Amino acid sequence: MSRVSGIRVVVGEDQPIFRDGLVHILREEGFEVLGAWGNASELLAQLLALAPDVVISDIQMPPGRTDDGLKAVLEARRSHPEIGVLMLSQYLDASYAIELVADNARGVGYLLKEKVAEIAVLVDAVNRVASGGTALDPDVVEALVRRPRKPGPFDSLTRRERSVLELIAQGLSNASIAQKLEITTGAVERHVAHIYAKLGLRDGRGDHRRVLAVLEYLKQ
Amino acid sequence: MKESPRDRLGKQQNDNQWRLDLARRLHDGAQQQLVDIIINLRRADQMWTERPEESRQLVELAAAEAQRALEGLRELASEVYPIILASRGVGPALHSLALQLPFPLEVDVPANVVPPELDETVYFLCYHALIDVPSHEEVASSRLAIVSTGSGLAIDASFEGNGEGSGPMRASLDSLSERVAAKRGRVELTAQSDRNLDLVLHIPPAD
Repeated sequence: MSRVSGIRVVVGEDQPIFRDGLVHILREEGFEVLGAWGNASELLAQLLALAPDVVISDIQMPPGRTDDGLKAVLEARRSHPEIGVLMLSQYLDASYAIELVADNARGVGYLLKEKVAEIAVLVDAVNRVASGGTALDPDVVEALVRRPRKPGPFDSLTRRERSVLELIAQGLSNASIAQKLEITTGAVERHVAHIYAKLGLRDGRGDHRRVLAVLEYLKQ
Repeated sequence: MKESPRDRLGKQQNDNQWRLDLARRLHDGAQQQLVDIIINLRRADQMWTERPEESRQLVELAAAEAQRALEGLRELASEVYPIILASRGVGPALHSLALQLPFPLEVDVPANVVPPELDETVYFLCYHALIDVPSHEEVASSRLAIVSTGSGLAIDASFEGNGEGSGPMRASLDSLSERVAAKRGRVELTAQSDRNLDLVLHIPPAD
């Protein structure tokens, strides 16, 4: 964990205690926090002015208190697609995560708010998003994978293939999956090929494209 | 046409029962969990210097309990009112609900078929049609389709049975019928066998 990351971060969060805690953790971990704003309209203006490497924002924010944070961030990305986005959310349901990835899966992340306390998870997510990767909350992905579905090709996946599928959906590269499961990258590649063949997915090149393909399949 | 006194009474009874259930779940769930958390944290504080190892365990227990309380509240909040309904409307909200049900649900709601002023009504009626009517352990899969008819909307909810029940699939229609009647609509049971349960909710246009 590098303490001199040089990654420039903007925070969007309206709850003061949580916001101060998050900013504190990020600074401790070596991120350069440019500022924190608690209103989606102000956040949008700051994102356009500062063009940070990463924005970490709550989905639900004033003024509307529905998904204003998400809307502001997506709006900022239209003119600054290079800004990495890590959304913090109270919703276990994957709908917003899928929407985020579908908009542009490069450099996006989605974490349940309490994961901020698991510092290694938070730092990993910020780093992945900053480098153009994808970082979806393991619990959100797990709920999506485990949900009841009609009998079909999904049932033919082996347990190992299901774990690989979950890690793909979280946004991990083959090399990271290999490391996590303590198997070789070659073995991961074979699992991936089997999963794609069984589920009838197209061979999506690029880690972020395959995340979208897998999520689209899982939500069917 | 105004809602009749009988419809209003049915709706109030439904709402009051729903409030009572909600209060019970909060009382037995998050409230009790917060009490446990406070007790564990206070005890940890009292024995902090003399028994550090036990204190640490109590803090861990409190954190785990807080996580469970959070998960319970998260579920409850999304039942009371899913934020995605306010921000995206009934279609996305139903797709989101499909990700959380204990059985598979296919959603067929064409864009713009539900007028915005009926978004909430339609969502909650669909929610109750799915949650209250069938016996969940008998359902293998389900489908929800909304079409516009000459005289409003038809919400078609069909459940495919897993054949594990004895006799035709059970259907508890009373509370849903009252909710639909309160919106001046009616529920029609179009099929009920050991393999199928189909109902149609006829909803008149908004005033």
